[in-house]
Amino acid sequence: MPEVTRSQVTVKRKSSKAAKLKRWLPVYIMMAPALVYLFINNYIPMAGIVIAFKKMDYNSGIWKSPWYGLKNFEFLFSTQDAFIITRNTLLYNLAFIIVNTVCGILLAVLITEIRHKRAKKLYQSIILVPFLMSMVILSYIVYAFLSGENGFINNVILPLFGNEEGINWYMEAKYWPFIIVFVNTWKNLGYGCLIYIATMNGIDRALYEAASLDGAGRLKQIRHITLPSLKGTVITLTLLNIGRIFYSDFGLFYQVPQNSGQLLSTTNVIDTYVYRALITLGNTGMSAAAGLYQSLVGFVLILISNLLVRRLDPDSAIF
Amino acid sequence: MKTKVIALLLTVVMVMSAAACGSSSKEESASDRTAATGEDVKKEESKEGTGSDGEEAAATWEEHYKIVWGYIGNSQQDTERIAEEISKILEPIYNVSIELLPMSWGEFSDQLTLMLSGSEAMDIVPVLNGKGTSYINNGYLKDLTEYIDRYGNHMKEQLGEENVYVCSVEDFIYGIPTYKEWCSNVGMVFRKDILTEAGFTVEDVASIDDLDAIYEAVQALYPDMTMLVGRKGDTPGAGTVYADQLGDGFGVILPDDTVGTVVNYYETEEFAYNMQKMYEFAQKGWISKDCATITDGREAQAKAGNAFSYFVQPTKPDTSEANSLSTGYDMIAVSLTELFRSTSATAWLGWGIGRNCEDPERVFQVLDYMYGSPEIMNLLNWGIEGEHYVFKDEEAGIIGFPEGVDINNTTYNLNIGYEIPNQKIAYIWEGRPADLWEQYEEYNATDPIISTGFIYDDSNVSTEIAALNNVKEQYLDALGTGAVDPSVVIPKFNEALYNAGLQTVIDEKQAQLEEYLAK
Amino acid sequence: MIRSREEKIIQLVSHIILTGVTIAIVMPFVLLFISSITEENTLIRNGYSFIPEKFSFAAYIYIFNQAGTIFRAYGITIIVTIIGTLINISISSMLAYGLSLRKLPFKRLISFYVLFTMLFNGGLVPSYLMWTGTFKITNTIWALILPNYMLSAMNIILIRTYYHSSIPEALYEAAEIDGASSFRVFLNIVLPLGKPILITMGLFAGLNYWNDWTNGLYYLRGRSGERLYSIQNLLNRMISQIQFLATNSAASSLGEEAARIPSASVRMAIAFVAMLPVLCIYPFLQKYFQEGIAMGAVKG
Repeated sequence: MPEVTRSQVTVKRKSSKAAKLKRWLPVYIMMAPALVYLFINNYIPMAGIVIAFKKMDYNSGIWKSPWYGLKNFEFLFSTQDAFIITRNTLLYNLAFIIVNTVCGILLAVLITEIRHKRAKKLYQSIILVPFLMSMVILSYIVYAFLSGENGFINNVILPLFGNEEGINWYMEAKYWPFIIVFVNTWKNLGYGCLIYIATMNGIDRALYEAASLDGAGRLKQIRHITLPSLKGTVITLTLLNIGRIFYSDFGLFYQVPQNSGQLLSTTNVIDTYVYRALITLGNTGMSAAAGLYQSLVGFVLILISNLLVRRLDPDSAIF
Repeated sequence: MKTKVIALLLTVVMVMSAAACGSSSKEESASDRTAATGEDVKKEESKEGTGSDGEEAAATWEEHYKIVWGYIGNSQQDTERIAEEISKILEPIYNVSIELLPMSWGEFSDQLTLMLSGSEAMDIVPVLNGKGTSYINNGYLKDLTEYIDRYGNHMKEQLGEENVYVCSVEDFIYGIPTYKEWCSNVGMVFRKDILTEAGFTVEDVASIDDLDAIYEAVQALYPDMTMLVGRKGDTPGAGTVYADQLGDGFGVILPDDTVGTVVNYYETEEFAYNMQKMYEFAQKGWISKDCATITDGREAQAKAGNAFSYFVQPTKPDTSEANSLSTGYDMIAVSLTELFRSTSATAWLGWGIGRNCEDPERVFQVLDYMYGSPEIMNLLNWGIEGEHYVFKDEEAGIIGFPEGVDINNTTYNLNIGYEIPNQKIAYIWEGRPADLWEQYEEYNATDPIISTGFIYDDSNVSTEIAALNNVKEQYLDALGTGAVDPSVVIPKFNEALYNAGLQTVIDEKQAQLEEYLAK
Repeated sequence: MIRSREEKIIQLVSHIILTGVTIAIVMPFVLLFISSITEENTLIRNGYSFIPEKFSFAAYIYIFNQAGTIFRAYGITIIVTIIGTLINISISSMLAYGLSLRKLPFKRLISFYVLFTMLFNGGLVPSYLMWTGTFKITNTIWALILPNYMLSAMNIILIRTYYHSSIPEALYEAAEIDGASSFRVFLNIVLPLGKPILITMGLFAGLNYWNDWTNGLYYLRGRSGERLYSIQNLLNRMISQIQFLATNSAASSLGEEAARIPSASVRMAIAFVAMLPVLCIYPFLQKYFQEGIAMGAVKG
């Protein structure tokens, strides 16, 4: 390549600023509607974060209510439960990320391998069906399985293994990490899976043909072509989930365990703790404080993870 | 890195500017509403000079005002028509019209909070017991004290002067109570036919100890039936609590307390004894294993033929009839304790005036008028005569469905008597005794206890309450359904409560109670 | 086609595992349907079971008696879903396209702007005050469309990632040399090639709209608001009514009220009825997935 002197490059840059604008303006215009919507829907209400630091009096309005310092945050830390709820929230979300990614990739690979067209169609539709069931209804179904007196498990499955008495599922905290992870995977697997399938469908067939000519068997092809192509998507999804790591699906942790008190040691997460705490208090300052706390942690974590990813694979970083 | 700093700065700038336009537009919309109703409040205030009797308003209200009346109940097909009819009565007197805004039981809490936070119209607000304090602290309601003194004649007459003031927290009166059963006690309801079959009568049930023999006999006759039912949040154990819970149950007043000492109910002998009983019942299979997770109500379970008995609080003059109606079986109720007039029952619902109300004086006078108006009470609760109901016994004031109309096809039948301002001046639905209101008067004449009328302000202890709520959720249902051994769990429960700050709450309540009693 | 032994095993194993997964997914729905045709008292007494003692269509009869309300709710839900999803996909894909271009100035800044919205939230009250105060959407159909679901930062980033990894920028450059404007490039290259991800994201956006009940709860009220209830709002109202009465001690005064509420089987029936339209549409959407696959093959 011919050498380009520095001055030549600099000159080139200066003169094309106007051209740059001309070039990029149409793109910016296309991006505008979405950016405006985000501003309206997300950024304007963000001003309300100050509620977390105020003792709200709606007669004075948000801006004139008195400041309250950090007092609204106290209830999140002064309790003995603070450690438990934080631990539960983090561990569950980590488990969800790992289990859903692994199972999602596995299923996506299996589905794309299927050759029988109709079966493939069926499987592809089926994985999305759990989305349709709301958590409330799902909690009734889970109850149908786990109910002490009438449950499917106690009455049909366990006796097969010789256990006639049954387990009082809603009273024993130790089983619930597994139950909750299972239910979460059941419901949310389809999301990641479908994205992986879409990504895999975008892989150039020629690559597979070439590999096959080189003598690589199907499994080798999957390992060396399919999986690496998912790398970007997996990293992106994981990063996004890390940003939400302090949030939980309320329905999953409150409705599904039927709000049973004995299970709190393994089912109480930050969101349910806040809900239970504030249900009689009606204090918007405190709930805003909880939300801010969750956001901050997620924000810090995502910054850190993104930095790490940027070191390893710059193209996959989110920003 | 530089990009990120710029990004953050830009975000902050955007948020601040957005906030600026956010707040100013809020003020705009409030004044929009004033303009829309064409009202000039200052004009009204100078005109006002009615004094005692709001009905013959000496003042003429020049500006029309639309009152938005929110209530908790099902919306009906003819709700708008009823609102029109009510408006017809009020228009000539006060120059107002009414808009009825039904909110369902599951949604009202969120909807009310949002509406009262914003600038939407909500003039008459239903404030449930327990929400009063937080609504006041959030600034959602207007203080009614001076209005009662000037205009509250019908209210004082119908409810009794001392009861009118019961919805108050530290001198802030947030609402006017409704006429309903104002007492609390502990009672039980049984399947009468089965009880008789087993050879017992209600007289045999004087206390919880008498239940063992009965349950044993009945279970032998009906092995598949559950003896004592409840559901999560409303466990059999919770039904045995006999105290003034002072709102949240963290520190209570015992009914026979004449001095006013706030105690921890969960440390009393009574609590330990009752929970032990629940544990024994559960061990013997008389309480279902799923009791703490069932969502179907007790009446629903009885209706399904599955339940023999359950606790009720309180027992009213017509508890037996009411339960028989809702379950379809012959049920009989019995009281296990003395009755006392309680804050929680009297202040169960207070009709308040929302902060956005632009003419609270007039709205209050309208409210007072309603307490004394049988026409409006009947319209609201039962509908239009001839269409939605007909007289079955005109003299006694008993009404029922017209020919061809029933509960499934009627276009209006609100039937929330305990919620409307004054149900005793309205008609009685057939099936209930003709002297129902006399029975209520007698019932409501029961003595109060020392803490009746006292509602405490929890804003100083919100951190503790937040933690205490979680502790309560963890232990109370399990204890109340006998699922755990109380001798082991009750000490743990109390330890957790004290760690969460129970003593602070008790001290706070004690201080506020003493201040209240000193008046 | 010559199938190696390895391939045959893979096919067999795949089918077995996927069949297991299908059963695990379908079973709860079957249970849901069966409990909706179980007789009410049996349901309360014996709980939910695959082979109930007594069947009864009472729940569906109750629903058909309310057919007017339910069909209306369906109509609203469908309109809201279609409008919302279309807007969502159009603006999302345009934004994602911009973000996928390597040389876009301020790209990192804009990405951060988008991502930040996922992390920080002002809470319900400020959003509510803004939508009702400034934009006055209360009791209008826009109340169901505008808040929250018209855009999702997560979807945008995923679409961007897809564009970035599956569409070589060389294609853009080639088109530009031929004189195409950015918008043409978007229409003729990005949209067709991005079909798989766009259909997928469209599906998710649509499902979010279909399943949403919070917008209705917060922004619709009173009699005029009820006319705009979506099917989920209807269901949610019934369920939360039951839950409220179940957990509030004040409800002891409300035994009669509770007896009037639709029973457990009706809850199930409504949930089933709410899902039905989407379940029926799925097979038709499959066609677009296949097209995406075909596109990918041609592209090579």
